[in-house]
Amino acid sequence: MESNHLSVHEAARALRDGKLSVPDLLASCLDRLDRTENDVNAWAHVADRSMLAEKANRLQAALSRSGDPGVLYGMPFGVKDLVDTADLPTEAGSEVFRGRRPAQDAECVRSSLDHGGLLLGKTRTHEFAYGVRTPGVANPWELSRTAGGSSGGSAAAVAAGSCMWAIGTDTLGSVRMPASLCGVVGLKPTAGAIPEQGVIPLAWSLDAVGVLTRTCEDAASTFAALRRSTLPALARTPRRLRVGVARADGLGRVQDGVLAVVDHAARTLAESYDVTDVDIPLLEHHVPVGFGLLVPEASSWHEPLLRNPAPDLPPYEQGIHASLLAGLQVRAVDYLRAARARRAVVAAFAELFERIDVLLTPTTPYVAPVASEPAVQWPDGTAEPFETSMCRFTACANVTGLPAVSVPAGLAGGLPVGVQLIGRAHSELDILQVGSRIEMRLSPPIGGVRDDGPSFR
Amino acid sequence: MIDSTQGTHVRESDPRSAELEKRAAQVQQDLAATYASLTELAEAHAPCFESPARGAA
Repeated sequence: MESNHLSVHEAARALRDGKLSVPDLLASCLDRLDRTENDVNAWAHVADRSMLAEKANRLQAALSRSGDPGVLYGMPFGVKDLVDTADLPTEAGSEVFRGRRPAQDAECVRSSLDHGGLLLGKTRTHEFAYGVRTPGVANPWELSRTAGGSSGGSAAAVAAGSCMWAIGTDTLGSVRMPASLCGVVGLKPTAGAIPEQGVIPLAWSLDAVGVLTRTCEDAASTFAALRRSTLPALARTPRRLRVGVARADGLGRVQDGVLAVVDHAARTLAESYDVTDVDIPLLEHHVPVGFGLLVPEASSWHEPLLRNPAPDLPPYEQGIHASLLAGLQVRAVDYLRAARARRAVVAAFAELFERIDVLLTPTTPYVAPVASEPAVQWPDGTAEPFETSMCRFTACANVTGLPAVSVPAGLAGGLPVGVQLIGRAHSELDILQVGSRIEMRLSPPIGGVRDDGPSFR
Repeated sequence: MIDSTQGTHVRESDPRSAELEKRAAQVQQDLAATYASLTELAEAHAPCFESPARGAA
């Protein structure tokens, strides 16, 4: 296996043991990037290679003096183009912000660099993260399919092996959905657990900074490195966890292959945990509440740009522009109607989590759709918009602020399927512990470096 | 036209404006339906600004 396909933990061990060097790891990622990027298009900006090489040499030289520098040390990582970086442009995937150069790094980027990370570049996002299928980014598993979004570039880069892990953001599922479609782990932590300073907001009351990795263990370590130091220390729950599995007949339309993977995951978990069937409370309201909050909150942030555009300001993409304009017209009483309904969802989940510790659901109702399809087509002949269907199971974690992770758990039709685990506030280690029992290391089928086949860990 | 009285950059002479206006109107219509669907749930639950102290009292 090439070093760019190791997990962060495996690579860190190899660095510590002298079996791998930081420059070699960097070269491996850049080589992989060169071989895949024409097809995958995951990166908006890549750092200057001579500067990267210089930093890698410096980190390698310091490694022998550092003792145990931590698992992020020397790891090339990507950052969603919604997150400020001082050394690279941050354009939010938008013509509106073309050439924007922030004065300083976002706090989460600063933390990553302080831990010895190598910032490889900025990964593509849907314009201002306002969408679920990042335009132009191909799914490494099948290039005609979408990588999902809006952290599509981050997920595709980790899946393709062009970086070791990546930072994303998640407003109604924008870390977990692309993670699921691309076969990687995507963690959306508890609201506010990773600082949002320096991150361009989409909807402030729903947004969370998250991480995309190849394993749950890597997600735990990257999250620990990025989280607010004021939070309680991370600790695993020693007791036997109670896992609630979302009943299939209450999920609405879901592809059979996705249901089969969730069922297999539930049976795997039953060997280690107390597993019971549960209903997802108020499921039909999660997406309406989410969009009822998101649309006006997004317009609120963009209002100065919408009302006072510079004379030569390039336009937003038209669909996003239309949504932003519509959001300006939302009445306060309607926004508050969504806020009140949100409280009902929060209360219903609080009640559910009195009976269980972790909730298992599909992450998305379907595998990665063909990028050119306008909507998901169901066998009964109906069509459903991607924007409101893909986030059906992920929106609740943003509405409630609870932590959730998507874990690759199998294949359907040769494409990755992720399952989602949701826990109580600040129970990231619990959901990652459960996730590690079912995670499946998957390899992308491009570039001739696919492993012999997926295998259970 | 959408918000023309408030100075957003939708220009009537711009051929894009008509299409943009149409799409924004569609989003507004969808949003109205979204908010309407939440009425029952919102009204069945406690006011948004309920104080935790109220429950204690």
